[in-house]
Amino acid sequence: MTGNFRSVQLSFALTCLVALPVPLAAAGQTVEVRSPPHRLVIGMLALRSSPDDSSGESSSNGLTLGIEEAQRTGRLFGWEIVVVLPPDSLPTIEAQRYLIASTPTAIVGDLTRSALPDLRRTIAPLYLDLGSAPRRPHGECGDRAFRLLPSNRSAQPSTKADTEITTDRLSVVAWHPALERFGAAQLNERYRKRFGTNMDERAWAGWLSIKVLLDAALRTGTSDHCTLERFFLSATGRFDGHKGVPLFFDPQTRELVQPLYAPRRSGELEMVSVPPSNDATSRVPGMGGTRCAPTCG
Amino acid sequence: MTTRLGAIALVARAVLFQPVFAQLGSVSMPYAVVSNEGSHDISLLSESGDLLYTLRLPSRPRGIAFSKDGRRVFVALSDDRPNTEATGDAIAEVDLQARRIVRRISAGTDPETFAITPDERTLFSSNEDAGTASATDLRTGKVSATLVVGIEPEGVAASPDGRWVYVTAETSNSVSMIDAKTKRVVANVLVDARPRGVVFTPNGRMALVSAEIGGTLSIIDVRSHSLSDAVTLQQGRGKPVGIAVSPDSKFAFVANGATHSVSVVDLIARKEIATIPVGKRPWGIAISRDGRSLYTANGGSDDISIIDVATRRVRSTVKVGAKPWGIAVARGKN
Repeated sequence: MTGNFRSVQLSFALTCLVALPVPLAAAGQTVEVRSPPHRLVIGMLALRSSPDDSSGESSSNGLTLGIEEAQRTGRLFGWEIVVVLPPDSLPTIEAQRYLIASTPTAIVGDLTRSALPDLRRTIAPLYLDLGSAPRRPHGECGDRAFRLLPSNRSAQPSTKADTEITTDRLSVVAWHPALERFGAAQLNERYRKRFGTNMDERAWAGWLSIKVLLDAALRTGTSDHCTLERFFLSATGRFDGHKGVPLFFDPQTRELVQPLYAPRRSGELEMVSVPPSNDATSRVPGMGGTRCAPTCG
Repeated sequence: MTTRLGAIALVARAVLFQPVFAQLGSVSMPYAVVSNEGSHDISLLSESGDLLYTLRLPSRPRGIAFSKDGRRVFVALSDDRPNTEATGDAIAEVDLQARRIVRRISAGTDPETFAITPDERTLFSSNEDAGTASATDLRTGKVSATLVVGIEPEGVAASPDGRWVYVTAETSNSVSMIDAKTKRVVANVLVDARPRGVVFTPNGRMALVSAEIGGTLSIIDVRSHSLSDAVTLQQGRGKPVGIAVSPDSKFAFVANGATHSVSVVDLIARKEIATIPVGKRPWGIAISRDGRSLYTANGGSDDISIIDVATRRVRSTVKVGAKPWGIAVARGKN
């Protein structure tokens, strides 16, 4: 955990010093939001992974690309993206509490379950969950998390025909480096060029988490977390994740509704879940009015 | 005597045959050109839609435009791998009488689309990989300025008066407005998700931007460089890309790739008033000088649809190369 956490920090420190001047609050420094709404402050959480699991690195790489691109897009519109990291010395749970307390807009990453109660407080930042191992069923609104990767339920086959071909599938994923259309090839290539590896679903989710935050901020004109949360749950909260259809958060579960893909043993990449292109009838404009109603009221 | 008769014969021959030669020359000059990204060639067509000839190109062609006199065609070339700079990346200038590339113009990495200012002095191109727009001096053939725009830039258009160049960026959902004279970005506007094509209306008052994922046509007020409206197309299902505008600036025609159709948008009422079924996955679209015919490049069916604007029906379908991408119509008499 700590090692991986450091790698996230290192990644952003390098970004800050070498590649792109991403504003980075010093670890442990209190962030003062000087001129809202033109500053988007994002807290980065450690991404849990075991030593033989590269998913934490994928997530942090995806976040890095997301921050770099958000910084470029933000600059066009007079927005600054600030990344907050907790102090190195803090143990995991304390580091998470630190971020929850000190980040005004949003946290992205992978909270441990013990930190979730802190998010239930009335005034707390948005939380975009990049964790998916194990993929717990979504729909538990208590932690108020917006989830970018599919739950096991979403990834399961929905028809008998689906079940029959499941044996040929290697897995069901939210992203694949072989995707090409709707800018997927360009995104895969940007990632490959930046990190020398293929973009997997963890990396894509990291990249997308930053993109949806900036999109929401630009479209609402504010970094206020309540406004952004309402936007995520509204009928206009639609995002381009380079999958060819608008992506949106299901107001019932706060899980991202998106196409999923199954790489097959034959080498083909099959689309196994296609969200409706227009879901306006199943959504409540503005607020949602669901189990996961906006925390801010 | 013999000399006089010979002179009369020469004059008679000239009088009799000169118009024939001229007419033949006129007939052979193409009226429309299609870039086929799958077969790496361009198809040249007559005004009636007859395929005149096909010209093989060294790499993948996409954005395409005629010169003002209609005697040359500019076509963006890149390889099949996005984001990778290759020696094939260039804007090729094709002489239509010689039927060959006469110049390769530097336009930055991976040029996809471009626009030429009305004075034909500068070519602006989008560089998808670099997130920039390049301005190339057409006299020297060299890049004179590189401008930072949004991420994954695509559509480029020059205003009819030559003052402004607009560039869309698919990932940033932005349109960057460039002062063509100073070659500086003067404003950026946020539009709907995944903006692709951009055109100015012939009267120069509006710029129109298609949003592929947003499913809309954004209308930008050119005087203020600000978004004034967004028209939803086909309930957001159409994935609009290419745009053409009637010569009177009253109607826009938008190619909806996913629904194999063209949306007709009333620019005064600012609403979609009709859809016209065409071939599969129409992408590029162009309108004739007189506004009576529309042409769509149908990437999914390897053909073009020629549409009668008055009846809003496809008049004919013409097979071209593989995966037609862009289409252009000669602007002046050629």
